[in-house]
Order: sequence, then C-alpha cells, then structure tokens
Amino acid sequence: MSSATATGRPAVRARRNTRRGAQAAAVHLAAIVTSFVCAGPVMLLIVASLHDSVFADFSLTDLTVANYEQLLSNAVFLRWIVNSLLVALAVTALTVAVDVLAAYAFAKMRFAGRDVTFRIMLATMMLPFSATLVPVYLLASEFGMIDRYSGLIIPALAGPLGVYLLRQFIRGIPDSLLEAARIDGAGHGGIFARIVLPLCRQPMAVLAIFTFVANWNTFLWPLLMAQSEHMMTLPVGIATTNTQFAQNISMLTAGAVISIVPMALLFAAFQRHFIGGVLAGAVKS
Amino acid sequence: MTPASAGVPVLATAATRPAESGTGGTDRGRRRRRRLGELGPPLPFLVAKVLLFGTFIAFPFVYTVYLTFQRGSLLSGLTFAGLENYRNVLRDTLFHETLRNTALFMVVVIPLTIVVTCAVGLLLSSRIRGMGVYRSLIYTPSLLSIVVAGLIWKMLIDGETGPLDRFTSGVLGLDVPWLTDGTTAIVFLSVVTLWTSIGFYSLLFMAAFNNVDLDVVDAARIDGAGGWQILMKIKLPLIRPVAQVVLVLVTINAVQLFDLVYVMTQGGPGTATYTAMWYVYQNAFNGGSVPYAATMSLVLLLITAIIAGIFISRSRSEADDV
Repeated sequence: MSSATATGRPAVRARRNTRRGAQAAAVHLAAIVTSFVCAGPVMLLIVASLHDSVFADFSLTDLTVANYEQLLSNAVFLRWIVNSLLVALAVTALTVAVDVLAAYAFAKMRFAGRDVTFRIMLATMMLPFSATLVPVYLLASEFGMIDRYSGLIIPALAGPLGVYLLRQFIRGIPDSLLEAARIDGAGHGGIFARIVLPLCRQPMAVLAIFTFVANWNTFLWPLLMAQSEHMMTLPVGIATTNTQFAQNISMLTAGAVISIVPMALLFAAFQRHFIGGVLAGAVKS
Repeated sequence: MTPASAGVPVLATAATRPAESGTGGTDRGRRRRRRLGELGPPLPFLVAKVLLFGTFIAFPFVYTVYLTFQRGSLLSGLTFAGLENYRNVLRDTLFHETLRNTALFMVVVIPLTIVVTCAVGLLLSSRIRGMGVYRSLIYTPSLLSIVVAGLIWKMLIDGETGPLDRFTSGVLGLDVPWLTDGTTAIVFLSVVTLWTSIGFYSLLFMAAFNNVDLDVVDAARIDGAGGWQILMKIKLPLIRPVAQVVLVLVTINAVQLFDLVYVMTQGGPGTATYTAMWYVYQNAFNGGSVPYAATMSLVLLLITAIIAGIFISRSRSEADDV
C-alpha cells in the first residue's frame, strides 16, 4: 500500500511536470511565432537596405552599406535628420516644461476657474485632430509659421495629456511637505523648484519619451507644414514621391532604417518608461 | 463655487483684477476676491499652457463649428450659409462611400485588434524565461512611423520581389489582389494597422493580466477550475476596463485613418480606400472647399462620439449587471 503511493506520487508529479513542460513549450512557440510576425518584416527592411538595387532584394549575399554612405553624405537627407531631431527634441523639452508648470498650478494652487479650465482641457483629450486641423492650419498660415520650425513645433505643444498626467502625480505629493517649505519662507516658485520638480523626475521622463516618440513619427502635421524639401522631417521625406530618393527602393529602405535607429536606442535604454508611456496612454481615456 | 465665478476664464479674471483691487475696500469686493482666490501666483505657471491650448485647440475647435455654417473661401471672404454644408454632406455620395469604406475598415480592424492584442497580452503576461526578449521583438513595429510601416508592407506584397506575395502565389497558389481590389485593400490596411499597434495594445493587456489578483486565481484553482475556465470566468472579466480603453482608442484611430492611406493607396483603387479623413484632407488642402471640409470633420466627430459613447455605456451597463 505504502509502496504503491510512494511510486504513485512521482508518477503524478512527472505527469504534471511534462504537462507544465508542454505548456511552457507551447507558450514559447506562440511567443516565437508572434515575435517573428512582428520583427520579421523589420529584419527584411534592414536586409533590403543593405543592397544596392532598384528593386527590393532580400538575399543575404552581396551586402553593402553603399546606401547608407550615400544618404549620410547627402545634404538634403542630413537636413531631414536634423529637422526630425530638432523638432522632436524642441517639442519634447517645451511640452515637459510648459506642462509641469501648469500641472503644479492645477494640482496645488487655488484660483478662480481652475476646475472648469481643467475640465475643458480634459474634455478635449479625445478630440480627434481632424476636428481642429483646418483652423490650426489657417492660424499657422496667418502667423507666418508655414515652412518654418515654429510651425512644426509650436502647435504641437497645445495638447492636454501632459498636464493631466503630471497633475495626477503632483496631487499625490503630501501638502504637509509643501507646507513645511512655506513655513521656511519659500514661495510657490521655490516650492516648485526645490520640492515638486525633483519629485516629478520619473513622470516627466515618461512624458518626455512618450512625446519624443510621438513627434519623431508624426506625419500629417509636418506634411502640411513642410512646403519645401529642406523643411521636411524624415517620415515626410520618405513618404514624398517626388524627391530624389523616391525612385530607388533600396535607398528609401536605408532611409527608413535610419529613421528607426533613434527609437530603437531609446527603447533599449528606457524600456520601462516606454511601458510607463503605454500605461499613460491608457490613463488618457 | 457659483456658476458665475466658475464660468470666468482664467485670463479674463486676471485682466479684470487691477480694477477689482481698486474697489477691494468694500465688503462685496473683498468677498469676491476671496472667492476668486489669488490669481497673481498661478498666472506665471499657467500662462504658457493656457495660451497654447486656447490658441491651438479651443479656438480652432470653435472656429471649425463656425466654419460649418459658412460658404466661400478665406481669400474670397466667407458668407453665412445656414445648414447648406450639412445638407450637401448628407447628399454627397462620395462622402457616403468614404463612410462605408471607413465602416468596413472598422468592422475588420476593431475585433481583429481586440482579439489578437488581448491574446498576445495574455501570452506576454505568462512567466517564462526569455519573455523580455519576446516583448522587445513584439514591440518593434510600434517604434516605427506609419510611413515606414507602409513602406515595409508595400515591399512585402510587391508583385515582382515581395516575399509575402511570392509565398501566397507560389506556395498557396493564391493570386491575392493586395491593393488592386477595393475590399482586399481595406482588409489589408486593417492587417497593417493591427501590425503597427500590436506592441502598444498588447502591453496594455499584459499590464492588465499582471494586475489580476493571484489569490483569486488560486482560489478558483482550488475549487477545481481549469486553465480555460479561469481565463474565461475570472481573468477576462477582470481586464474588461482595459479592453474598453483599447476599444475606444482603436475606434478613434480607425475613424482617423489617414497616414496608411497616404503611403499605401492614395485612396485607390478608384475611391475604394477613400477614408473619411482622406476625403477631408483632399477637400481642405487639395483645392476643395474649406467650410465643406470642416463640416465633414465635424460630422465625423459626431459619429465617433456616438460610437465611443455606445461602447462606453454598453460596457458600463454590462459591468453593472455583473
């Protein structure tokens, strides 16, 4: 009897282990297939960019970096990289600065119309860009911003997402902390600079990465703003069919790969913040 | 806060402040100032955001609504048109077609995205070795701009050298009319859209699955529930709020479909992939009527709001039933 259970238990455990093993194998298989579907096309893009041909070529022989050499020595293409970087960095820095200031006021100050103003901003969070697109374009044209960096940057700073995110965070800072600083003689400026800003480093990083990625990849607005070739950003340049690169597929693919590099580096360095950004996007609604 | 004081925009009250402090000696003035709070200190914090928001979101939205009741152009001058634009939009057969195209796109892309990204999110939430690598690879498409995604998929389906086209025609023996048949083109745009958003939405679902209370799962397991039952009866109901968020985001993005149309089909073949947003763009910026484009964008907004509202209220009432 006792020997039966003694032999029975390992058998059950073994069965359970093989089942768990099979399950893990199935999960691995599913993950590999999904990874392949997601990353495979990007790998093919990279392979195609390493060929010097009119048509896309996915073979692994005769690889060359000629396209990259040519692009990175081309003044127009370099200008697109500079434009993309400049616009995305400027929008990111200014968004974070403007939003953290406003978020502090909405979270920790009392003033007339505070709740109404905030609620109006919040209500526009889900407002699609199409609902404001035409007048924003007319305004930009009125202000002489078309085909200028100001047109690419300034209208992109208006969104309420950052204020909402940072306000949520700043509200969580205990009032007693701010009160202590006030007793020590600090005004709102001092409290903001010495207490709130250092505490906000994490959510500000999330907002910064979210904003940078969104603006690096954005298409419709820069398409409307950039009238001349030298004001285009990378996505607009790659998508425009009458440029000197458009006819050469492998050149375009190399340009596309170059446009991915900063995102890939950013993702590798700040993966956690990306996921934070995704969650921020969820909070958004 | 009384409605009167609440309705005063921040900047307007700031502008009236000096006059008010002049009469601050009276009881009424003092009470009013106390109710308004101090406007001096918040102003430097708020002024940039309020100006930007007011100029580039609030005012443009109001102006869009105003434009819908006008005719003419900004150069020749606008005149009041009453409901003419709305009547024209309702009669415009091409606008009807763009709505049908957008509807077909939504019917495909919404369920596809929800089911696939939920499944991938569940997959990513399982604790196996190497999941970090899989997660990074699965997030890859979300790092690309839509322009690059469109370029990649156009390459994959190219009739001469595209690996995907070679596979379907060579191995499966199918001659897929990727972008030359209207319905196929819309389905294909849906698949590419799904591909670009897998990383983003599945991470949302992953976070939701990771948040499911393990005690509840263990309790169900002790009660004899199998893996499938736990998934259907416990995990899925618990992640419903996230599914709802994804649903609304996918819906809004689906109505706005533009970038992919620009890089992959330019509205073709014929007008088969004219989406609503593409048509608005054509009207506003390629020699159409600006007031008419504004009217279409507003009708589009109303439709989006109604659909999103239905999704939200339905899932709310279902949640109440539970």
